[in-house]
Amino acid sequence: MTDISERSRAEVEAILQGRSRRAAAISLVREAALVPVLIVLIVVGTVVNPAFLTASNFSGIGQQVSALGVTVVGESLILLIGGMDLSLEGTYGLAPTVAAWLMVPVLEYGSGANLNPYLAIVVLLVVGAAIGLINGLLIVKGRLNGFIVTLGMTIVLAGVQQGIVKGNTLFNLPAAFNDLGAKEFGQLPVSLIVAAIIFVGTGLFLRYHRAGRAIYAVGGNREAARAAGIKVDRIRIGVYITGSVLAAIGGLMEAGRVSAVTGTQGYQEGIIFAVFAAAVIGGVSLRGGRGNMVGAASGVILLGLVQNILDLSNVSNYWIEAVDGGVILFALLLARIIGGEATAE
Amino acid sequence: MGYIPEDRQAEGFVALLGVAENGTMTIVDWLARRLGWFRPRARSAAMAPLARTLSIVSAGLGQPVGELSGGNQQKVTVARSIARRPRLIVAIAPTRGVDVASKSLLLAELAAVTERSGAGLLLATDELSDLDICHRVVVLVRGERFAEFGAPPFDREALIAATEGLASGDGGPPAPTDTDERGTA
Repeated sequence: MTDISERSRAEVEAILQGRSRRAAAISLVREAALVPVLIVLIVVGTVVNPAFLTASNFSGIGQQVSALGVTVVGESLILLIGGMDLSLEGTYGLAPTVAAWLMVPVLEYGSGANLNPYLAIVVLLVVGAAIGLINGLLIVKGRLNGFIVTLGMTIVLAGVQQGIVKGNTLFNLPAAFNDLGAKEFGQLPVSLIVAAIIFVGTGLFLRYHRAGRAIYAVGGNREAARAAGIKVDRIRIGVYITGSVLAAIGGLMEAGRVSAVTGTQGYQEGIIFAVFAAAVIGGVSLRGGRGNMVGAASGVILLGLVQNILDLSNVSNYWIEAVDGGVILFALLLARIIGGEATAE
Repeated sequence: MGYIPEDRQAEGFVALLGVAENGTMTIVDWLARRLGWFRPRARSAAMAPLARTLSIVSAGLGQPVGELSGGNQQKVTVARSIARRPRLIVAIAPTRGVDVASKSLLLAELAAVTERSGAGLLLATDELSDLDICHRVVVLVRGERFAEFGAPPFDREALIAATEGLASGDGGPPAPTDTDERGTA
């Protein structure tokens, strides 16, 4: 009797070991899956235009993708807890609009409040946090569906953004406000450095902080996390707030890069599609609990390269968006085929 | 209070996360150092003795619990509930869907843990064999206290009759649930 159970135990162990080794191999393939794609893109870019493989072009790509990247970090966190937030697009536009409006004189469609640019950045962060808090409360405490809440919120935010500036564009923003998106540190854009810090910091937080691990637990199995004593509601609302603040920072980077805030920043570019695409290409699961910052970052870099190659190629301006969308759909399919989804590490 | 839920798939563990992480989920505050940061190694160190006493079979403490057998998943759930050394453990059908060998091991470990720590165990079950570790059994029929058995060993026949609602001779329908209680050691 004991013999049999001992033997079957050993067998079970052997089987499990084999399975987990295979799982480990799959996860390694998954991590490395986008590397060949990135290499192919770099080769294609070099062939398409000799200006592609230059330091100044890569610096430009870095500056362009930083805003997207920071927003992708926010969306990834929200996806990890098993939520989704379409309104990051609206926050990306509205938060810098409010901040800029408070700085710019009335003649240039501002409020005339002449706010100090550093205070304006604080306002921008507060606007982001407030939008996240409202979303979080409606979804978590109000038990409403995240998709419909944030879709509604997107429309509200876009409308408020248009309303404040009456459809105009705010120019002549103070240098201190533009610095994050415009300044360069040697050849390195400041926005890229900040985005990299945010990616690395979030990655470490998700791995080595109890709240970061709680995010995976909540996304993997909300009821089990609750039964283990994790304060699920607090984690979820906190993540919605963090995600919106990151989207506001992304919007600030974009405003600095073009040194203006248009009345349609965010939804004009349809940035939310790129945000979701980068996260999903990077292996962040739409069902929660799976994904990591290495994947999310490679998704962002991939989209940045595609966008840049299209800009440098001979694709007609009128067709560039169609090609861009098509390439993203193709990349999603490719990511699916290569490795499914990332692990919870 | 430690809690071993009835439906372990729904509430017992996070399938994507590892054995050590699930087993120590209730004590992250003990493992964390300054400002909530901790090293994954602290998790494994805290989990290793639990995994040994419960003989959890896994390819390593990092293996996702979703890949384990049902019995081992249940052991991880038990580890999670006793890790915090609770004063009271509430277990709902803790051996349901667990293989025979693991079943007696789980019960023995629950008995040993409560014995050692002086914790109380409230065990609700519909399996007679679970009652072997109990000191007191209360039979509930349709949510009402129907019969009580003071001290082991319990008379199997009488227990079965009581759960069928037969002891008092009214011959009602079978009981929906039975609750059995083990007093403090």
